[in-house]
Amino acid sequence: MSQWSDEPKKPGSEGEHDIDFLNGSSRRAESESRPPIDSETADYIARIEMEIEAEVKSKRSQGAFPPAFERRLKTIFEQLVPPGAGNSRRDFEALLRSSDRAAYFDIDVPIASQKPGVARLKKLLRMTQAWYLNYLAQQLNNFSTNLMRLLYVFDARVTKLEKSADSRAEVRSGGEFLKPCYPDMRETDGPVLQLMGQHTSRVLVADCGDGYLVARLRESGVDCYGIDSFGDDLEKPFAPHLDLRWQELREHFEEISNGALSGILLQGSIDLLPANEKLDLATEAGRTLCPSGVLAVLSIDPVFFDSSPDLAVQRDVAPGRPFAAETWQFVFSRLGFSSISVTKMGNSNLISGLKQGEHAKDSAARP
Amino acid sequence: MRRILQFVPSLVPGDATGMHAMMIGKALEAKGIETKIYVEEVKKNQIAGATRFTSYAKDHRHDDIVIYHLAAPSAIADFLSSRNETIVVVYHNITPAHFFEKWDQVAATGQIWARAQLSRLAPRASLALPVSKYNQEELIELGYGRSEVVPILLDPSIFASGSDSNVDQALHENRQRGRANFLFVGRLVPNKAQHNLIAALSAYNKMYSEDAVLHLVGRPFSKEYFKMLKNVARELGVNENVNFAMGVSAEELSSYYKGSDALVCLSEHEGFCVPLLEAMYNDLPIAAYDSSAIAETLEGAGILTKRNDPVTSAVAMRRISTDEELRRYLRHQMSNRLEQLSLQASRQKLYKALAILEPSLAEAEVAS
Repeated sequence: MSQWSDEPKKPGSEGEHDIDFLNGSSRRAESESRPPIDSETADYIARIEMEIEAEVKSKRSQGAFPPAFERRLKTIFEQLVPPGAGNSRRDFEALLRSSDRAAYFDIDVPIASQKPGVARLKKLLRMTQAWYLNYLAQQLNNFSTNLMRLLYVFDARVTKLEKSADSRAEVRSGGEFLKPCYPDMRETDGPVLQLMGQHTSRVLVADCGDGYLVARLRESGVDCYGIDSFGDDLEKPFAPHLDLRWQELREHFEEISNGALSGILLQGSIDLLPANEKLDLATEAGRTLCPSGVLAVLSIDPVFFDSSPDLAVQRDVAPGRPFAAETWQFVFSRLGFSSISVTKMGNSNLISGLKQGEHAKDSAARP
Repeated sequence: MRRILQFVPSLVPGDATGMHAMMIGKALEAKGIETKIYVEEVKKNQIAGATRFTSYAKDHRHDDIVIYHLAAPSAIADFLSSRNETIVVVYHNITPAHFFEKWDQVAATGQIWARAQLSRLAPRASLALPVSKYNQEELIELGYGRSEVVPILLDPSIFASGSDSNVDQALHENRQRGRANFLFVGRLVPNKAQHNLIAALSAYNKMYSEDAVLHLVGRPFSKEYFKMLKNVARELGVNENVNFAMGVSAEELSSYYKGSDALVCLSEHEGFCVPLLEAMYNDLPIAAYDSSAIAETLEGAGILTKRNDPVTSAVAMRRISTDEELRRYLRHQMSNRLEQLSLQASRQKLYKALAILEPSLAEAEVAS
């Protein structure tokens, strides 16, 4: 089929996404208008582009773009933007330091000059105006010093607040303890494979760990890749040549075009996120799925979460708790999914739904 | 006959906006229209013939048609919108501010200002001449009424001025040593994403065990971004393979186009992308990331990638530089596309569009 013959496609609509570590990914709305070209050209170009895609997949599976290189590229770009230009703590501190340095007003004006007599004239001017400039500079310096002090205090208070509100840190520390609560996929991967295995185009497995599920789905002929915010498991993959990436789920969704994926499995850390973050991620997942794409959430049963003596710490420190299967069903329904079903898997529930046609995409609203 | 006068921020060699204005001026002169170019800033290297815009206050006639080329913030926009002449806005596109935020806050603010000016001119403009449909859509969103797409008027004779023997030799030597020459032409600016080109080159050389060279022709937009590009190249181990060619002459540019294996464009925001047209004139196959107006300008005359990651770009670079059948096909497509984007074709579009305001242009078109 010609790439031009149907509705205009957007970047990444072949089930992939853009990776620009520098400029971010605000390009989804671009490239809306597509010019018509004759069908012969369209077919030929489409064939070439498909061949390029196939080679990319082959290269990726041979390890051409491993998580380590991806991480390195990201680090390089992050390190090389000007100090203060990014959003990291390091950038903020650099900006604060440079502001601090610039906050002192010096009246000791340089008077050197190559022209004869000018240096003396400048010195005279400086001496005669010093009383006036000094008076102004002192007030400005008092003000800027106080302002900088205020900024430092403000920074300390905001940092403290951020630390107490940083749900991701708690999720990171708690996520590891949750692992035993999920079914062991090596024994019970059937329901997931059945759900996702019917898709041959792009499927995302979030919190993929060592990529066991990714490997199994690839064996079934699914074009599957995984992401995980923990680098450790990614570096020891279950099988060689898996497309596993080191990235936060939210950040990853920001880079994916509308309708680019045909299946998404959310699991793991999503359970410990606050309710609003769970809903945001589910909404984003809905956006990135193509019509008839499947969204599945593997979530710990809240009854088990609330009663298990092994999870006492997580219950206390986690910013959120797992949703009940009924809650996920409600969320799926509000997001415009159909054929919603729940499968019990040990102490977890596997909730799934199919994204409805194009009309559903527009009407899908955040619950 | 009404005078048609043009206003551009600056008129210096190599600047697409200024060159478009120059070619419009020539097209109007060819039809016997009295025309002149005004600039915001008279620069040292300015092309002769333009005067500072403020002098128009003395020269004006009430029935003048003024064409304003908008691509950047300019005092001209406010100057013209406060006057009564018929205004035509040629929209070259404004790069979204977020591309500049990390590098130059002043430039980022400038883009926001330019967009506000574009919006303010909407009710005053009798006609808009966006250089692409992509730009036209933006104008429609901003409330512009009548608009006609007039692609960039590029004078192909600029490539007939000859070539530069040093560049020719360097490119030839690379080829002799089995090193592919990849080219991108454009200011070194974040939205043109030269950093992604360098990452793609690194992936290309690693994946195919090659030693290809990337020629980045263009002046830096900021020292910081330029420094970053050099550092990225060094960190990725391709600093010897990236050639920053700044301030090239017409002959050197011509040599780069004629001697390279492919033009690779990973730009993330373009209102038209003149280098694509220049590559077509020079029979240079194109591989580009499918963003903004790129697909519209190419219209099948190049390979588009849907993803902007180093591996995809590297695979496309490999394909475009080695697949002779594809290169022949694309050359054929480029020649077809050039018929639509030729100077003559774009001139006719210009005449037709402006005939709404100056009917003699329609008559002249028939006569021509």
